[in-house]
Amino acid sequence: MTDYEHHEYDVLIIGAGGAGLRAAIEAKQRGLSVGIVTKSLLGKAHTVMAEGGMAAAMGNVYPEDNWKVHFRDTMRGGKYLNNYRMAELHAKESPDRVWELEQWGALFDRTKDGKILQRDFGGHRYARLAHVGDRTGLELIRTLQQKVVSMGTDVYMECKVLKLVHDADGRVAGCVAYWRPSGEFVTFGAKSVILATGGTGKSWKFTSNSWEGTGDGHAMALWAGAQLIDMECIQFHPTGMVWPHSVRGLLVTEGVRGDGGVLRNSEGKRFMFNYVADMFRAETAETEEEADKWYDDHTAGRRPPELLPRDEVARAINTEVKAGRGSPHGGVFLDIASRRSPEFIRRRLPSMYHQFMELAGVDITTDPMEIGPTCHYIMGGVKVDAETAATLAPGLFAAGEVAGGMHGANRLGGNSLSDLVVFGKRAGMGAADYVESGQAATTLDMGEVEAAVKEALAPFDRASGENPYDIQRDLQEMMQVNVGIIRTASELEFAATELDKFTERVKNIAVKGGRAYNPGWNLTTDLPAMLTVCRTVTRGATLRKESRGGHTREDFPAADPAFAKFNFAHSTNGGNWDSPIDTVESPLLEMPDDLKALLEEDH
Amino acid sequence: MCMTRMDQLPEGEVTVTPMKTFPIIRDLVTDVSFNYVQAQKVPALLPPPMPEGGYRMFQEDVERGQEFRKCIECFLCQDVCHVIRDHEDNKASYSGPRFFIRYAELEMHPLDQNDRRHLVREEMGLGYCNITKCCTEVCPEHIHITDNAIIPLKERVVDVAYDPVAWLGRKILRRTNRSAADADVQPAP
Ligand SMILES: Cc1cc2nc3c(=O)[nH]c(=O)nc-3n(C[C@H](O)[C@H](O)[C@H](O)COP(=O)(O)OP(=O)(O)OC[C@H]3O[C@@H](n4cnc5c(N)ncnc54)[C@H](O)[C@@H]3O)c2cc1C
Ligand code: SF4
Ligand code: SF4
Repeated sequence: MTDYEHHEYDVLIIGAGGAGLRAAIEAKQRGLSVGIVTKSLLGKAHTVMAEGGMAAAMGNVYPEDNWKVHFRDTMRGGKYLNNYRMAELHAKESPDRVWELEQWGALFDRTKDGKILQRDFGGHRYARLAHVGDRTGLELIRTLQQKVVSMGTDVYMECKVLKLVHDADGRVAGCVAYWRPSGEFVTFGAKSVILATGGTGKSWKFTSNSWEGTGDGHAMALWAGAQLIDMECIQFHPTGMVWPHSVRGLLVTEGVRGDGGVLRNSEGKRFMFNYVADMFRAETAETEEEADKWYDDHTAGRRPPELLPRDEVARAINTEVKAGRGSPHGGVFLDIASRRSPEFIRRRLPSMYHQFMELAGVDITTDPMEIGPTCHYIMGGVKVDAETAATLAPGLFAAGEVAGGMHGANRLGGNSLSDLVVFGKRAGMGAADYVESGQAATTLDMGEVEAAVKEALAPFDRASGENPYDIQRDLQEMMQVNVGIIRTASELEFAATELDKFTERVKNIAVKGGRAYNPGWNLTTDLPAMLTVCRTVTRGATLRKESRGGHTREDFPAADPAFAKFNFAHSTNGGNWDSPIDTVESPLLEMPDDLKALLEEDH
Repeated sequence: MCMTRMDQLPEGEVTVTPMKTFPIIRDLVTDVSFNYVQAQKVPALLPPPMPEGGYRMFQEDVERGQEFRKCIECFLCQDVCHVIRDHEDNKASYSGPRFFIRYAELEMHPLDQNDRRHLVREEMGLGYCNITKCCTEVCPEHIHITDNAIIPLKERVVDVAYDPVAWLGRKILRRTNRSAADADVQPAP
């Protein structure tokens, strides 16, 4: 047996985004030894990209606001598929979590009387998002990072976890990882492990997620014996950049359409007029002339069809692309250049102007943008206990985007950043309690470690085989087309059989070169997790024969009350990435009457 | 610079080299752990207990710090600063422009009760900086590192050095508890 570099902690945290860092602070304050592992550098986790703000009912701008209204908004947004207890705790605790950040050095924008300023966001009854300009995520992560560093916590950077490892009794006891700079393996033993690995967007061709979002934590939890729920519920944004490659997936704000931008297909036609569903007909303009009057005077004409709800717009774009009328890179054209003066565009949309100019070399005052639906956020994730963030695998906890339940079928903007700190703290508490209870794991099962290492190294032994980049590209393409924003039975079936083929292809990857900073090999170790995520998403999407929140079925366009009673929960027995996956209907928690009453109240 | 577009460069071969200030791991990848060691030396914010309903601070007062908190830690400023770029041995006693803005941010924080001026002068090597402004020129976030952080910080530090009585008086009034950050500094593994 090989000797690996080895470290031991009471609490091991995988992920250094908002959730992981907040969990670390909590466990550290309890006097436990804490280690954090992250596959990027400290302070670079995907959380830095969040812009809009973090939702907390502090009532600084609207004193009428309180946790009850926030709870109601969150449940309504989630189409009632939420773990109600998580939504309740989140609404009650997020104000304290925001104020606490301020004690640790965060500098939020202020109201006139010196309180934390809060801004409006879709789905929130009151202006509720604490923010710092458009860089709230950076402020959150920097504050937590500086706190963690000041407490003297060990951080293992550029260290990628491959797999969780159990002890002889089946409790989660740590993990096996490798250093990206050297390719050397390292093991971590821990009395408890907290997963805070973020999202999964990288399995789709267009995504706003950073390179880290490969769903490692989702997959590792499943392999280790936990359950995944609501995996079909994914937020796609209808307008993301599809070109050029380097900025593929970046969001284009709805403001472009609000300020006169229109959608055109390859024939130059303003196609949205063909996609006005009956229920919107009365309030939507019928001709371009009528629509164009609306921008200046909302009473002079009805709304332009470009401003229909997100999923209507997305469905139309999807149909145009599939009918072969898309733009060269698989999207459609968003044109504001031919409709507004360059001065107007620069004044009204300064950040979009800069985003395209600086990052893409596209001048949106003269040229149209190429846009399409982009994968943004996964509501689904590891099933956890609301109070403790414990998963069904003993010793394993999960918080942040990797956890499921809090947001139900659809997340409200701003609810994620507050989710990270509310449940990051709770995961830290839960893990600490578990460690102190004395039932924690003892030693790593080295057989599991050896198996994981062997599997990770296998691609070096194959003289020839598949190229990991080809597989990644094909997988992203396949998921975008068949399990994208709008789904239908035939495409989902096709996707399921394709995924089986991908599984075989992954087993046949060949990698060349050494292990130090070998991006091809690094990607190869991501693919099993990406496939596990894709399989559960496809399974959930096939079974949920209705449309709800972030899951839209072309063949079942309406919500069906029969599906409002449970989550689809996935588990696996084999513990490997290619083991069969079982899916069951897992009933929602029963909500107490006083909370039910809140949902009906009209605040 | 990190955001330069290829099509803005002259035709022909482009030479890309790794950051000079930091040791090379492979190809263009450098080991930037120096910066994380420096980060651990910064004593944290020390605010008074929070009143019911949160602290009151005004936009004008937080704006100065907000400028420095835009930093994305690309460490380009650290890379161009000649004090550590050309003199490896200075690294032990110089924290660099990225951390001067961090000290400045804390020093200008409306709630802070810590006093780091002595530390900045004696151990973080602020005196080595001769205001060449190279750091400001490369900052992709357009932070005015020299004008808004280093120069004001130098002025404050000079106050401490030449007016010990006033400084002592302030110290007593301000109750300079040292924070958890002052515990032994140990570099992350
Ligand atoms: C463009 C954009 C804007 C957004 N804006 C907002 C907003 O305004 N408000 C809001 O509330 N939400 C917003 N969100 C959503 C929110 O930013 C994310 O959901 C949230 O940041 C996720 O945080 P996290 O802590 O769960 O994980 P992340 O921040 O994604 O961190 C994951 C961590 O896990 C590590 N990791 C992953 N896998 C491994 C592995 N195998 N081994 C070791 N380490 C690993 C990573 O290195 C990283 O440190 C936005 C998202 C995007 C894409
Ligand atoms: S101004 Fe000072 S800190 Fe900035 S590069 Fe010059 S010497 Fe270094
Ligand atoms: S160059 Fe600017 S953004 Fe980069 S580390 Fe320095 S201060 Fe921060």
